[in-house]
Amino acid sequence: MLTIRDVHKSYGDVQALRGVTLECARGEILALLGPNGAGKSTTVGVATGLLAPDSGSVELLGVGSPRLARVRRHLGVAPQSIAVYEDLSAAENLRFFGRMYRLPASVLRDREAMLLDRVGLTHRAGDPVQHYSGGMKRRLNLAIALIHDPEVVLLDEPTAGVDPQSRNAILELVRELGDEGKAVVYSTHYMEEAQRISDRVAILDHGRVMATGAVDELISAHGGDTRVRRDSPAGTETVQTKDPLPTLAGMLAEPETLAIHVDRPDLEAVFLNLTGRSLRDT
Amino acid sequence: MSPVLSIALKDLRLMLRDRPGLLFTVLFPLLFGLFFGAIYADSATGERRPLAVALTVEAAEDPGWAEDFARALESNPRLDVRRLPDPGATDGALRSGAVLAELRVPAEFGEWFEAVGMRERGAPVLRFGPGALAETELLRGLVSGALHETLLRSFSERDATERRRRALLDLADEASTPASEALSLRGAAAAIQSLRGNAEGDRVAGLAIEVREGSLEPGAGRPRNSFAITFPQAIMWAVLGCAATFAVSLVGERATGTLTRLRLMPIRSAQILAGKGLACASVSFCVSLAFVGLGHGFFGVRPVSYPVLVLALVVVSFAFAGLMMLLAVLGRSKTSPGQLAWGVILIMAITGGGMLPLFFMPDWLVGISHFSPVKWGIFAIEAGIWREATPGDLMLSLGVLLTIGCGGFVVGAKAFVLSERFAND
Repeated sequence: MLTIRDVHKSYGDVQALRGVTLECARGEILALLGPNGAGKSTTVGVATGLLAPDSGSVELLGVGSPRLARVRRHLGVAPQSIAVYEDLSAAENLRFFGRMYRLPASVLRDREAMLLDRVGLTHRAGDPVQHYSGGMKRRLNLAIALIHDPEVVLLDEPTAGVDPQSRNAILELVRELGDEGKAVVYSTHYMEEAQRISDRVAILDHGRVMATGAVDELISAHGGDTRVRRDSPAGTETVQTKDPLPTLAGMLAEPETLAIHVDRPDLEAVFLNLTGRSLRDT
Repeated sequence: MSPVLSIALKDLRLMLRDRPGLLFTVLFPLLFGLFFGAIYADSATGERRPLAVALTVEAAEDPGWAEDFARALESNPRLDVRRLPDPGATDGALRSGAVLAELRVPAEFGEWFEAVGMRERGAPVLRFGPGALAETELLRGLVSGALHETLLRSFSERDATERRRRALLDLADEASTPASEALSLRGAAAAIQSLRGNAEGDRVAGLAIEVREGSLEPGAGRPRNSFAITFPQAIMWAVLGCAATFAVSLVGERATGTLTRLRLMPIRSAQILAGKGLACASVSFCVSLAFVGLGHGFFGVRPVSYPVLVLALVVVSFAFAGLMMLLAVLGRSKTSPGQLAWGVILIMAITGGGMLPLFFMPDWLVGISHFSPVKWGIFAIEAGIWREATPGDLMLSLGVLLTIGCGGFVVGAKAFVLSERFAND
């Protein structure tokens, strides 16, 4: 559905993207995971057609580049900034952006009602957006991206600055989009989100794709061993192993075991092993 | 619904919800028009408040001519002649500004008058107060005019003419009169005698000296009142306010990210700008029409041609919407387009007659005004309200405005596309 092929992009002397190649298929949620400055937003910008790559190509649905207006019809984007008209209500925002896609009035009406319900804003649909909380604005931001039922959806850090309840709602909705058969590219620097909802993760750092794959694959290939720690009166014993079960059984059989901790590798460990830096340190 | 129309409707809705902005766009121009209309109330149609003059007529044996002269002054609607009960209070009235000047008619005025001003004593004396600055020449003219009016009227009365003839002869016979002057006086007396030649009854045919007033054809229009002058200016300010508001709104969209969102839609950048331009022109036109209605209903502003006025408003709205599109895309920071827009607008307004009417301005500034779209806009609107401009004059102003509008659209749209292309690069 979305193909990004060997894209390079520079801002003056700063190389933001260095040969990024990605694909996102129908029904797949591809997470772009990386710290701030890794190139996630630039990748999204190139994928949406807002930015022209220095080299490489972007193709949507096999039809053409998203820099063409007719191709953008198939694309839904929730930008990182909350891009809504605060003096208008949620319903008015949805209606206005729906008209940009020339949706018939009846279709627009139905989709407006459905999306407001889906993002939990029906009860506040008539209120000006300036009176909404940050989480509500984020949900509206997402709803606008879906007003025309696009086949490809790009979400640039859609949970930035929102409360846990809204974050949960957004993540649930994103998962549903994948289940509905849409190709979803989800940019985030939260490892937990990528692990929770994505089918595949692309790890970005300094404009390069360090690794791509399913979460389990990445952890298995790059996450390192599982650490099993046993606390006893004599001290702490740590064992690193790829197969923790036998180690665990052995430790449980030991006398005077006070506690056992199992640290399974996660995407944080993957990033650390690939880049030498922690995801949170950058 | 087309994207351009949707964007225009969205902008109109946002503008209606921006109360402070709406007040500035609508209320400020209206207050401008009403305020200056009230100030210029006397100047616009040539009607002025009568000039207050204290009149002192000294007692004389035969006050006939003095009273005739006084009546000529009092009958002039441009003079407010006051005979102060206490002539000694005149100085105080002059200093306080209660009166602008004092006219003193001496006791010898009758003899001086009959001698056609040839006697040394008896001429009326005009004294000005410290507050009479611009009015001095006007007062001199009005007083002299009354004097000449009295003099001319006196030539149409047989007895008065005879007395004048005798007065001149008596003056010529006086020992103190030099011989050459006596000769002139006798000549003047003889001329008066010849004027009496065709007398019938008690009156002779007077000298009929008239100043006739002509008219300018075409374009004979004059503003009906001061508001006819200031309402076109007010309309112009409303249009300028709309243009600036929409220019700034584009900056706001860039700052909030909604412009980015619009660029992600399946529409062209030029369509975004066209939608905003349509909203700007619509608001300008509607506010202008509202002002015309207000002026017609409450302030006596009666357009001489509604078709011309509507055409002018359409073209003016279009022109400044186009100008807005150009101003909106200039500058890269969040604040510079707004500052630039207002700076350009103020310069155009000052040089184009948006602050003070052009007829108040020096010639060099009138020359500069030809380069200001505000001047052409005000002219076009005035053509519909009072000016009765020739078709040629009207077409010139509309042509200039259309050129500005089209140029602004084309250049602004191209600049917008280029600026957005480089915005995120």
